[in-house]
Amino acid sequence: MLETQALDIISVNIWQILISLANLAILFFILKRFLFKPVQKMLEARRREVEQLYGEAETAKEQAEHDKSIYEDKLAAADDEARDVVRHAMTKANEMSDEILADTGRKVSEMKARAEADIAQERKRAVNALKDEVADLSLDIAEKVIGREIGEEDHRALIDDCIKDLK
Amino acid sequence: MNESVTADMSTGANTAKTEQTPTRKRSKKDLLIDILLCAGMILPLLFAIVLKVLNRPAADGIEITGAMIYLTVNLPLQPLYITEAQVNSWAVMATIFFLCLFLTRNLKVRGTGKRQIVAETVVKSCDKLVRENMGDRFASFAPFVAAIMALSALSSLSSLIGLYPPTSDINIVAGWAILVFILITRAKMQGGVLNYLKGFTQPVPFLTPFNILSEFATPISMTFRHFGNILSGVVISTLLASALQWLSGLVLGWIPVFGSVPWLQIGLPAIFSIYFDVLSGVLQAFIFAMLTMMYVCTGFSEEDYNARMAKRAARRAAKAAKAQEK
Repeated sequence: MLETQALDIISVNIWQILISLANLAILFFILKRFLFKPVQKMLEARRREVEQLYGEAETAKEQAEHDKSIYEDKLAAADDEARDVVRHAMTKANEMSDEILADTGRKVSEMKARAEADIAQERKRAVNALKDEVADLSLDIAEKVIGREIGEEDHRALIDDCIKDLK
Repeated sequence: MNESVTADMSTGANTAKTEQTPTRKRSKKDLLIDILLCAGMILPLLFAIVLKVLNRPAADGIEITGAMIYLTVNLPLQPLYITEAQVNSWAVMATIFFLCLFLTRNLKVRGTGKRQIVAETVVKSCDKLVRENMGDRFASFAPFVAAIMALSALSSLSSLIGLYPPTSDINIVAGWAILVFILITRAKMQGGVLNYLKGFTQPVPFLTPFNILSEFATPISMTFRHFGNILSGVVISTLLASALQWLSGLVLGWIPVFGSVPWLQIGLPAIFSIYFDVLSGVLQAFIFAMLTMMYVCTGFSEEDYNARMAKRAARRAAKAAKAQEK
């Protein structure tokens, strides 16, 4: 074992002071270079990543809201369209039913008119036929009664007058 | 503590099992580097202890002396003594260096490793402390304050493993205080050298010598505050140990063999060292760092800084306007 001299309890030594000063400066650079720089670099990277994530989230949210508004618009448009379609269909149906009703009415009245006309015609015809029949009959009867031919023309006029009176 | 360590190891083993072979190889390499870094942290201190054990002091007993001289180098003015205190402070620096490397290994942006959390906490709290006490414009002082705290606290705490605490050597602390003084002066001179010199004649020219005296009193008071606190702890510890040895001999000395061991030295000095070594050491480191921050940031006040910045901006604007005219 070495016998070692010791310093006095307070002994100022300029070189030791300088070495200690340099020691602190060196330790400052060590801490700056090997502790603070890497950690701060990492923190900065983390901050940037967080910011980026936030930005991405924000854009995604904006996109979603944009999409949502588009869909809502589309939905509203579809709703309107459906209502339009229904309204259109209803008006069309109403129109059609009106038309059909009017058509039917017209047809019915037409048919009625034709029927009436037919009836009138038939009646006329029947009357005429009857008239002819009556005239012929009366002519026959008169021929038989009188026994002679009378001027047909005069006769017919006479019978017609007669029938007119009958009427 | 033990439980958490074993839990960690078991989870580590599980992940290693599930991982592929190349990653396991890499983790082995990682482990090797970690072991080397840990060795780098411990070996300097062990070396200092060995050096101390090999060199017995000339005067044994309760004599209170300064640091042991390992080596004398002849230089002009004064011979340079490489003492225990110097060697121990280098050992502490090496330990801090390897600790930094150990903590900042494998930093990840999304990492949540224990080391990373420790490194982040240290950096963030130092940064916050400096920003709160000195303002944002002195944010670059954070590593310096961290260096002062780490060096001072670990130097003082090195007495716990039987080393001579470098902080109880006046030269060590004086070196730090002088560096701080240089920084204070630099901060004061940022307002202009003439302003700095004019500051000595404020508030009345009559006070100039006192102002100069008080300027130099700052590093001296910082030195003696720190050095005296740690040295007093060492002195009291030594006195207490010798007193207990004497008491032990008095009470138990009559027993053969058994009585020759200073039994009373066991236990009680440890309780005192909680204050004198741990609390006082850490507290003085904190005080030294706080004083550094206070002195530096009051050397160049925020208003001066803002005024100077405004002036500089105005000058630059004027120069730009002139250049545009041309």
